[in-house]
Amino acid sequence: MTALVADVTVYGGGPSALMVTHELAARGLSVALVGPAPAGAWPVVAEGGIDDGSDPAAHARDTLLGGDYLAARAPVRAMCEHAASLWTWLGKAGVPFMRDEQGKPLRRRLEGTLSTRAVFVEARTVAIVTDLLDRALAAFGGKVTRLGHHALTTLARDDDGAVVGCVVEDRTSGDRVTIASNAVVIATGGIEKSFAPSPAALATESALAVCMRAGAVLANLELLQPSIAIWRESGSPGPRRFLCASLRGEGARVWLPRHADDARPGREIPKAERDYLGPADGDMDASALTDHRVAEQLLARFAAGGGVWDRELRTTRKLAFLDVSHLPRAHLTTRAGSELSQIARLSGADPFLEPLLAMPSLTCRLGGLWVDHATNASGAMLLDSPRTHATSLAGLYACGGACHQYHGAGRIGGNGLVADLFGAHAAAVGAMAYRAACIGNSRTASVSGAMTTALDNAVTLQNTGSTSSERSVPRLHEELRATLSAHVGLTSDNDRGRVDNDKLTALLGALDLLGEAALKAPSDSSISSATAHREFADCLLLARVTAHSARARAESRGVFVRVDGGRERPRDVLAILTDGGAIQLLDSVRYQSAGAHHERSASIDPDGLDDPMPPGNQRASDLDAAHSPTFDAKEPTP
Amino acid sequence: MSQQARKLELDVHRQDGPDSAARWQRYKVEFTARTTVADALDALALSSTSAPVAYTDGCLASACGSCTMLVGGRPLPACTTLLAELAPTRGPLRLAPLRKFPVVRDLLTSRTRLRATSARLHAYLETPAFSAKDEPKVTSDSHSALAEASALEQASVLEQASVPEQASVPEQPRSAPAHGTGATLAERIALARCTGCGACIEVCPETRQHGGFLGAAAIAAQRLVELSPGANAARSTRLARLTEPGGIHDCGSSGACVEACPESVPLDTALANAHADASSAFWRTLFRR
Repeated sequence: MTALVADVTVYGGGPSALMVTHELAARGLSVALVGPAPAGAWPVVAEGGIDDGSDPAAHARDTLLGGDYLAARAPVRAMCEHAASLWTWLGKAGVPFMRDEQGKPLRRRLEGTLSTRAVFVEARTVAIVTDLLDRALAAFGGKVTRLGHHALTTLARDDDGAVVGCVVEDRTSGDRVTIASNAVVIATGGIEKSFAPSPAALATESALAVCMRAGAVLANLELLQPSIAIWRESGSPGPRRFLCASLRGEGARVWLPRHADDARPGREIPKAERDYLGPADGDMDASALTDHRVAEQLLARFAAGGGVWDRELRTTRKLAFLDVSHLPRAHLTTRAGSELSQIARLSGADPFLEPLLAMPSLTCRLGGLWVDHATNASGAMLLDSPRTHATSLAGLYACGGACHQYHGAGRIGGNGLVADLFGAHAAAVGAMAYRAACIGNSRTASVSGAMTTALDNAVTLQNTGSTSSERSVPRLHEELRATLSAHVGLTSDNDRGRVDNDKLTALLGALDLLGEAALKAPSDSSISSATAHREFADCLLLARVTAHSARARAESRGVFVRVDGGRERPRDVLAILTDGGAIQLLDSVRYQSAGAHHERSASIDPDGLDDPMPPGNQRASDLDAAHSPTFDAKEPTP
Repeated sequence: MSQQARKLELDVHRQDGPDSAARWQRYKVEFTARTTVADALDALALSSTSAPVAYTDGCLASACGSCTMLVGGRPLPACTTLLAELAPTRGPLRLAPLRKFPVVRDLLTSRTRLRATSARLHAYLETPAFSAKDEPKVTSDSHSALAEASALEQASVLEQASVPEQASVPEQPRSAPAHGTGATLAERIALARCTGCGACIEVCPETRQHGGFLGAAAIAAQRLVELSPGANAARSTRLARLTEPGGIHDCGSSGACVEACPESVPLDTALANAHADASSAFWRTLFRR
């Protein structure tokens, strides 16, 4: 067993985790950066680009509207006001944002806004940003200790309940490492193994489950954002590529044949016989439509008998056309050339000539660890506060997809990376303020006691597996994914991905059965096998929270579509685990941190800013549709 | 194109841990023209009741490089390599971990080496914390924020104008910042496509599991930094590191890396530039003597 000491522990491995680490180390702190993945591996998100921050007011309006007024305003305003300098900062960090011959930045228009504000590098902005941040950490030398391929097993808490470190475990050897630190930041992202398309996916929800078992509050876990993904078939259990944001930003259209039994290849179907979703052909300026709205419409069409099949491969899921063939080849080649040629190779179809096959797919969880923010007298976010990005456990911080901040009930295209990086900066500043407030009260004895308790609690799960079972852990993961998709997610025939209480009751029953099956799942004596079992248990816990949270949200809001129920004031659904292991929903979060008590209600208050008030019973997406005279002609009647 | 499912035997390298003995395990898989190596491994994981073959797929879009393995002896990303392109006409197809990176388990290797080599060549920009002094004023007037942002950006674009190491060099024209437009920007973008998959290190005759040439990825990373704004700060350090043992002098110019790079990163240009920089540095020291 190894014992490490660092000022702050960061758990994660993607852009958020690297940014927090950078921000802490650049301010002189020592950081232990620990992640579940081996070095240099991350899921691809936010490939479309990053909002340039040129119009903070419009950016904030788009963000709040896209999130259906569920996002707290002060943090959104702060993020939008910092977006311009974030872009500048990324440029200085070496990100080669694309420019024209005159040196003027190229921009594309991403979902959820009427203006063209996203700067980008082809269709791999996030991969390049992540890679450069990863390399930049070398500048801090020994200040940053990196540990890949380790699972977070327990948080160490002192007598006052403050998080003073954690225990992590090598995912192959099982060797434990204790890390004592003043604060722990969770940055493990928002799309997790429950919904991941592949058994070998890196992302796990374990960190969220570990924090929840330690008493942290989770917010809005029922909010699952669908998007349109390029379909790539084979024996694979799910879609493989989310290129849609970039392509739609360049003017790609989503459409279905008007006649459900039209078996012609897409390119042979004349325009008049195409049912375009979203704004009229070529009129991308007409609507600030978000992808989740298009996904919803697609599911409604599928339920009504529409949709195309991949006839070559006889797939079981209905698909739609994602079409760039009407766009100038030179334009596309400059802006997404290498990705399009890869798609051409893998799909066997030339995207410049033929519509691609795409499908609605869940791309991220908008909820996560509940995090706080502090405001000044005029209602603006106070970054330099221990409350910034603080979870309900003192000393535990979260940012990026792992927390619930910024996106509300719907994430707009240009915000993926802005929210991750700004949130990471804010979490670093918040954790530093907390550390400054705590420093001086020496707690060495208390920390070592906390660590011993944490180690005692980090008992490796005993495998009770029998070889007679047919269902391996990867198989159970796949069943969980399918179950969640059918009940709270998306399937071709589930009528807009709608949720009702019968479905949720069925889901909870199905989850219980999966839990029982997991106890019987085959395992060998290896640590990897034990880790896989434990991570499945973590996924199950969060799936249960998702079901309970979905039941608690009695209205449709943003990405969450409920069959019954009216319209309420925006509020977060907050969940906590009781000592008995039951999931309990809260009306407010009360917590103590850095010697002060805090309380925040689940209701989203306007924080005194002069944004437009939530418009009564209207859904943000309805308001969005009202922007657009050409849209909505074929809106299905619910 | 025929979508008839074909059958294939896979011989997969199994190894429980870094120090465990390795063995080959044979699997039978079905594949079509569009089945990737990752798809086949995932299908095996779902159908088998024994411990699944360990490998990682981070992004599934050949952007993170983490699933690179030897497919039939060639280092390729499992996520975007089609079985149909590689399936041998007879005998099984072998899947093995990269040889020049330590095995974690099965096909999973630790690639920390890539980060270490780029750190050794000082292939990074020292970026200050994202701090308040860079931030536009918090204001309700969006136009002033925009103006300030463009001013900041302009400043960063023009940083190239001063070259501290060669004070006598005249200022570059303000209108055409070299790293921000045209061919240089195109090269930066092409270099930034490097996913750190390790294929270049795997095929290089001069790299070893320990020591030897640092590899083309690090040279390309250094070249990317060289072309970036703010590159002047550590130029002499980078040049010094480039000419140390393991640096560019250990490159044998086999060209294997250029062939192997799945993202067509312009490694040839990067290596040629590194050779040129190193030799001009050599001549400079010679004449200074």
